[in-house]
Amino acid sequence: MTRKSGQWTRRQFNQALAVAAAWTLLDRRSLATTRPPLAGFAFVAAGGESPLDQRGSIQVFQVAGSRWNTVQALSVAAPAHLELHPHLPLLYAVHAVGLWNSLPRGAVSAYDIHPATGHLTLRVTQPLSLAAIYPRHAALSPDVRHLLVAAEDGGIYNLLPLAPDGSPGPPTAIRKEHGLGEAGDVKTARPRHVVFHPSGTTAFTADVGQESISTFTCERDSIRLEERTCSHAGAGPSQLIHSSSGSCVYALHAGDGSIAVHRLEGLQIAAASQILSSRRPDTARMALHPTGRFLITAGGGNLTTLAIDPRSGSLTAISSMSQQQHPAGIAFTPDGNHLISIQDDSGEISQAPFHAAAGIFDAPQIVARVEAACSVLFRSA
Amino acid sequence: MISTVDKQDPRYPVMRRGKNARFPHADSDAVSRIEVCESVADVTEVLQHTVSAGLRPTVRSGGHCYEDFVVNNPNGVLIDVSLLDHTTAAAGGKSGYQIGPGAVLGVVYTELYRKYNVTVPGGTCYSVAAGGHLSGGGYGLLTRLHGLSVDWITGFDILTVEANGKVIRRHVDRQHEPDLFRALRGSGGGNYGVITNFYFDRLPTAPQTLSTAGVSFPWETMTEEKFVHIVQTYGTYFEGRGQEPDTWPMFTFMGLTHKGPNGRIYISASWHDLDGKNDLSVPNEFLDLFLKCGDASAVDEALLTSHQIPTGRPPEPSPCIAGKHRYTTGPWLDATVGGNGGAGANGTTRGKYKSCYMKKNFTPDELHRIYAQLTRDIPGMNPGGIIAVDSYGGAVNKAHLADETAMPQRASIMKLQYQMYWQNPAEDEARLKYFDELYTDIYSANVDASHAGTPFHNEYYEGCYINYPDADMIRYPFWPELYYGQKGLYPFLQKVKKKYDPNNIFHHGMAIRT
Repeated sequence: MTRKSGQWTRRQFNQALAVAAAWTLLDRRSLATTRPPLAGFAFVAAGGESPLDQRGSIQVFQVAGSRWNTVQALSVAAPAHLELHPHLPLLYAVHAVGLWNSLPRGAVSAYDIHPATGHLTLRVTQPLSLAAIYPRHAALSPDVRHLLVAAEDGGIYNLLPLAPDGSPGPPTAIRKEHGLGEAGDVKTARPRHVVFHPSGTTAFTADVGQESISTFTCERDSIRLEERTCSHAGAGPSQLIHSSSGSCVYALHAGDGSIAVHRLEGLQIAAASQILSSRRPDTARMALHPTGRFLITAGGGNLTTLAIDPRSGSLTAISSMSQQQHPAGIAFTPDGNHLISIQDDSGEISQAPFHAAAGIFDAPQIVARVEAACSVLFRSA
Repeated sequence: MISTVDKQDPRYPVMRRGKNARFPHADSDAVSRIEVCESVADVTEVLQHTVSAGLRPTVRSGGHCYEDFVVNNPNGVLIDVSLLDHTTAAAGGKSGYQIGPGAVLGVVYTELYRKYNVTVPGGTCYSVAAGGHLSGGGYGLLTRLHGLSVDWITGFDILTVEANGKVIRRHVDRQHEPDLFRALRGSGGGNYGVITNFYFDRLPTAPQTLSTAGVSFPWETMTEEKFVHIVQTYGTYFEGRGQEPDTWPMFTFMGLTHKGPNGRIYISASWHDLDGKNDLSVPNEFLDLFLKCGDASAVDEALLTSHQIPTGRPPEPSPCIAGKHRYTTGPWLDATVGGNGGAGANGTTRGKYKSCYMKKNFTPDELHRIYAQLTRDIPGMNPGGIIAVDSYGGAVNKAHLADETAMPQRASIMKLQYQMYWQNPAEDEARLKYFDELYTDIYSANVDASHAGTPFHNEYYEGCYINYPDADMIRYPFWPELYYGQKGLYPFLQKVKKKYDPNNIFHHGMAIRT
């Protein structure tokens, strides 16, 4: 694999700083008044990253502007990741546990969301396959007929069928991955993140242990490997986002904090066409703005906006905002006007207005605090 | 040659299951195909293909696994090694013997006897194959005399999977991968790889004859007092006299059945004649003890093991006479592999099993609970089932073998196997509940509160036998200690597992967990 680009250049950073400085000269108030107030429900998973004792919760907040009122604190076993059904009032939680009903496996639960209050009611919990322990991510297929779960510590993917009402059934396809190396020098597979391509049954997965991005075709009873694209040594791909057009995949690497841009040739992942290295290798999360024009990275002490070139998919840093804490998760509100950020160490949840015209943030406002928060989602009212 | 049996194959319904008809629980739990292998090369090819395809392999030698460890493998691949069934002299002019994992014990006994006049101190169910039997310890009629099967194993050939997914062949023994060698000597099947050969540098000489006699007591006239007397008489013997070396050629069995019409408590003694004299004074001495317990009857054809409990008309009883028990004596091989040998019902009978190693005689409180459970009426159900109390100890209890093998139980005098069989799937829930309650109650008598419900290691018990796996036990966080003891064996096995199966390719509900 060839590195087409090195780390963020001094020029890129200066450019970003210049944009940010210019922004301070603009009349933010005029922009702020044009946007509707934030309204809806926020779901925050807590305890999923330190799951040994299986404790955890999902906190539900009713959000009105910058006021976050707790409406429910539901005790949940180690929720590491949340997914919303795109059409139904249904929330999925991935339980990062090593035992479920005494067997070595994780589990996934589905919760009904009360449309008016946001209250969650457990509908069903579906155990994963044997040895699928500590799952930490899942993705819904575009047709919402399957949920693909990545069990990181087990090195296993499970494909769960979804009933028309969204309820997950037992896994119908299981894929056990192996790692790298022989004898004493070994790395086992650690599938960390999965994302479906908008076209349908193709899923891309990031494996921090295998140091690769895999392409699978997911059908009812099989998860078939199509291709494996190796990342650069020490990268450890940990999060994937595909561009809104589906023509690129962005890979965040836990190992060195870099971000790689992979063009898609059909559904095949090409070698990275661009790699943005991080000066501080703890870039933890990224999020795509709903317009598809910006990729936000959080970590390394900064919240950075990367503009996406609509033709090539390449990334250019356009702004950066200092951020003292280490983010455990970020998510845009569906309208793209706010970025919700949860902090790993303090549990603070902040809400930062985002101005899509310029790709920059207002200063974030702390709106709530949830200890050990690890995943956040927002559902509009 | 590899024969693939997929879901379209007419053999699939039969070959997707083992002997216990409870498994797989549902069609969705079943394997996608069975790969029947004839050679080590076949197994290597199938295993490599399975791992490379991201599928889970499970391995079957004889299909006797008591739980769902092999056939519960949703859409996975069942590697059938039953045709690796050789029993021969060691290859390459080496001394000793080698046995394939698919060789069933009845054939192993026969081949070793006919070719070499030796035997393995193996099991009592003759359709059990070596692969499962030897991986989990292996004990039977000759165990008090010669120790466990794994005590005699001197090497293994095994296929393991490297971290990068590559299948490699290993030969392990005391000099080569000694950690894996120890782990393979009793920690149970389905943990580290696929064993393709067991090696024995030497084996004990086969006995000449086997003589079996027994006594029985009818449930119709049973009282709790008499029940306690009978069972404690049995236990008292093995606490004392039964551990003296001159008694080790004797295997005994006590079958504690649930009360019922024509039901009886059975006790048998089997004597292995090693020198042609067939001196039966030891089994006579043992059986005579029970003549003081009430209305003991002789049994025309005494039961050798729990697998021979009659299901139809019981054997005709007749009075017992002290010192003159009605022995059935035959050539050792005929007696050992004769009859149905506990062949099982080949997938038509449902079963549930539990176990316990006992270091001491039964206590009054324990027996009170056993009696209450065996006389308990279960509405709409004849519980059936049996608590089989086998003689134990003797040559097994050489303490140093606990450190050389993966069988830590080296201080017990009796070994109990709880068995229940039925046919109707609709009875599953009620039967499993009853059986669990029975066991939980019995093992709440002599056990501290934090381990109540299990025969956890204490002055009375030494845990459970991994070859009689009981999935009910995994609800206890300490279940590995039940099976592997408290002296560091399980952490050792976890290290071995991580080293030789870093991807956890081989796993099941009670596999070594890393």
